[in-house]
Amino acid sequence: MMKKTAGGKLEARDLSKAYGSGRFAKTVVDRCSFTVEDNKLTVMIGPSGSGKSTMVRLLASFEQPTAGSVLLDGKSVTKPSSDRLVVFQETALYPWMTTYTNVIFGPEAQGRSEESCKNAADELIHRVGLSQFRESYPHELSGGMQRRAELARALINNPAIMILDEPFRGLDAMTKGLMQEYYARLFESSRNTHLFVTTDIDEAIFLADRLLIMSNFPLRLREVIDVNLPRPRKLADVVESDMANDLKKQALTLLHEEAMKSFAFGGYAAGESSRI
Amino acid sequence: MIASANMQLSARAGIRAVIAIAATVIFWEVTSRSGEWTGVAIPMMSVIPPPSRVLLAWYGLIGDFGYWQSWYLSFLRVLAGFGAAMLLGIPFGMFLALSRTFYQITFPPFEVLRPIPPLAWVPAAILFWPTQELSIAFITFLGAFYTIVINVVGGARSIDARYVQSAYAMGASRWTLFRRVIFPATLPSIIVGAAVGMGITWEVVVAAEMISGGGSSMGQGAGSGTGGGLGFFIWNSYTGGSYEQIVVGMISIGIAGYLSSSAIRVLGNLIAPWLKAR
Repeated sequence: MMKKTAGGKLEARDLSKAYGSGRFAKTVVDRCSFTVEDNKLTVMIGPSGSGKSTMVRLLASFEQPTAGSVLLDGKSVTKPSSDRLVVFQETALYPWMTTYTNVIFGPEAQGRSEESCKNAADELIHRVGLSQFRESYPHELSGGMQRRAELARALINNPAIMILDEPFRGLDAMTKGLMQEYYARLFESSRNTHLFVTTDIDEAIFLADRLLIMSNFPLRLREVIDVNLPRPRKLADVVESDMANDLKKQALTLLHEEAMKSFAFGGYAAGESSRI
Repeated sequence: MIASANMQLSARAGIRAVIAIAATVIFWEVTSRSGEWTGVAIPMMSVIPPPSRVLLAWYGLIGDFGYWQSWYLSFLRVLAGFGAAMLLGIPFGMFLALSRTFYQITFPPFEVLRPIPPLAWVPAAILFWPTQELSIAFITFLGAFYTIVINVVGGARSIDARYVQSAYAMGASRWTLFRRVIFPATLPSIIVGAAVGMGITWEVVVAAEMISGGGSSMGQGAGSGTGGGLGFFIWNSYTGGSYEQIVVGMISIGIAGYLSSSAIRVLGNLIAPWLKAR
């Protein structure tokens, strides 16, 4: 069984990211600060195109911020590391590796022998329900199975922080619902620190302990909402919960304002929005 | 159910292929013989010997040492040139893709040399290689080398950034990243480069054999060329006035090329099984 590590606390402090330079500089993230509390599931929500994926790359140190810093448990981090692993939009499984080989890639890359991590890998593959597909290549898996394989590949590294960038985007509604419940159970059983990025408000409320509502391009923190729904959660319960619906209304109002901003850049739509 | 449907499909494809080839052969036979049958010779086609006479000539060559020697020599040259191109082209392309310094130093001269057709190298190659055999192998090498390099560079540069990012995040060293991520991610491009390069190699080897006179002539086949490769076999048949053998030589090259590219496909599927079902 995997050893249980305490999740870490991730902090973005005055992060800015601009692409290009001089007159052509485009600020995607602007002095953005927030905290991902340890052992909680934090959901970051914002309109699409608001710079969330850029934020993910900054947090994982795939890219360096123009200003500000990323702190893990109070220490500044600048290099990608297995303490902050990202599950990407769509799949980033290696197409040339089977499910099993994909999952043990991390431990092997860190120099561990296959023997020492074989059991953990098989256990995780079983937990994500892919035992039958252990020797399948990613293209032989359905979209939902690919995401689960990817979860297993990240989880085996025991990251202090799991960052999931719209992991269920592109799945059909049925599969998406199942994956959300599945993922919620996975989180509830491990209680590590997770940051889950999404544009889907229902998904956000269902999963979140804390909800970070982001402002539209450039990205900033707009508001933090605590979601104190009891765990373990079921999709059906959350749909019926008044508390969840109130939170949703509150979040939607903010998100609507932010989404309108991107329309306001266009002249025609700007006229529309001022009349509303 | 699906298997039987697939078998039906492939059976239908097979029938179509047979019909198409048969129709071509009949068309060829009729147009080429129309002069002797009806007195109205069809321009161009009437010059080509009809397939029945070609087959007869081929049959006569089956026991001929020189004919098979031509096969053997051409294959040997293709394999030598192609093998060298793979051996040098893959690492060269990888270095170009992965090292900016190497790219900036090596790519400009490479790009100037690349448009020079391999056949333009023939006189120079004959001058600076000690044997004719080596000069032909060198020219076939050039044919495949550029294609393989360009494909490797393109493949290695278009790798999904997330593959590299997640490998680093999971703790991969640079060597692990290369061995387990970059190289396998480039393999599909390498296989495509090899398939295209193999085709070019056959084109080039035949022309080189014709121009250089086939190199070492070993064995004197009855009525055939000296054992100078299939290209030389065709050229020799032409100068000897045996038009049937010209066609035999051409079709032989077609078959040899087909066998080579099939071999690459089979090898490709073995090396990269994850590509098969796509």
